This record gives sequence, structure tokens and C-alpha cells, in this order.
Amino acid sequence: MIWQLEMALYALLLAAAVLALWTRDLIAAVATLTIYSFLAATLMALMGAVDVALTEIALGAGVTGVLFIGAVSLMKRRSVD
Amino acid sequence: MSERHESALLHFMVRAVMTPAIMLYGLYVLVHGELSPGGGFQAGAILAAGLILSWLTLGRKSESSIFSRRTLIVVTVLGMVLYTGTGILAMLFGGDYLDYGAIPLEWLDYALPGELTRRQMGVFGIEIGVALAVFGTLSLAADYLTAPRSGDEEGEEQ
Repeated sequence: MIWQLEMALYALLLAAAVLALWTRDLIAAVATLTIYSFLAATLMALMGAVDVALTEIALGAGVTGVLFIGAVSLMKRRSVD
Repeated sequence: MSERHESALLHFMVRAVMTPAIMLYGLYVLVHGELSPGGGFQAGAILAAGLILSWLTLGRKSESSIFSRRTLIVVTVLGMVLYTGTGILAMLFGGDYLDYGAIPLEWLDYALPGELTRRQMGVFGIEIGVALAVFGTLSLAADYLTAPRSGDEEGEEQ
């Protein structure tokens, strides 16, 4: 495995996680969490766990994003704390 | 979330390109599930993701869609019945629960030696059941969450 690629993916993973916590726009937080899931799935596939990566990409990046968007659509879009 | 967009390109891309491609990939993951990464759960999630994508972009027209709420409930129950039925079928032929080797499928023996064929077909039936159940459950969850609400709790149409 190319270790530069792996380090870049880890850095992007951390950046996505911090951004999802930092932003006040909940839709943006959901989108950032989707990016986080996609990067995590890429890392899992690079490490050889293709089955786990497939589950992560289907659930983490696909379905939970939709369910979070559905939940956000029931309340106010911006968090206040 | 349920208003319709009138872009012809969006309609074409979602309805004719992306959703069929996602659904076909889900079927691929399902059929090759016992030999390669994937399986019933992932296939069901991918199928549901394709359906939910078309709902999110094109809007939900529950009257004209073939995947109405009732159909999805039937699909979910059918998947569970298929899983349980495969297990109980093995019990009826003298094996344990989910012991696929006991199911008499000798007419399939031209493909693989008997025991392997029976076990592979048993796993295949189980995975189809899991895929149907996961597909129905996830689609139903997304459907209820993104349903248009009139008033506070009055948006529960059939």
C-alpha cells in the first residue's frame, strides 16, 4: 500500500470528523459525516476488509445519511448550543 | 422534501442511469454473496439506497409507485418468511434448523457434487430472504421519516 495515500486519507478523515462537530448547519454536518463514512470505507478497503467496506459504504454513506436528513427535516436546521 | 423538480436532465440521470445501475449492483452483490464480499444484508442496503435516491431526487408519488407502503411491508414479511421457511424446510427433511445439507435437491446435482450444491442453494435462499427484509425495512424507515406532514401528526395516509 502507498503510505502517502494512507496518511492523506487519515488526515482527511480527521478533518471531516472535526468539521462535522464544528459546523452549526445540520445538513452540512450530515454531508460531512457521509464524507467521513466514505473515507473510512476507502481505508477499510485498502486494508483488505472489503466486506466491512461494502457495509460501511452502503449503510454509513448511503442509508444513514438519508435517515439523518429525514430527521433534520423534522426540526430546525441550525443547532444552537 | 417531496416537491418535484422539473429538470429533464435530473430525471433522466436518476431514473434511467443511476437507479438502474445501483439496483443492478445490488443484485450482483446478492448473487455473488456467498463467494465474494457482500451478501444479503449489503445487497438489501444497496437496493434500498437506489430506491431512496430516486425518492429523494424525483419526489415520492406513492399512488403511482410500485413500491407503495403496503408492497414494502409485504416484501419485508416475505423475506422473513423465506429465511424462516428455508430453516424449517431443513427441519422437515430431518436435519437441524438451517441445516441446508438435509434439503433434498438431487435434481441440481449436475452442477456441483450433492452436498455442496445443497448447501450453496440453502445459503442463497437465506441471503435472498435477508436482502428482501433489509430492503423493505430500510425503505419503510426512509418512507416514514420523509413523509410530508400536514399539521403536527396528521400526515399518516395509507
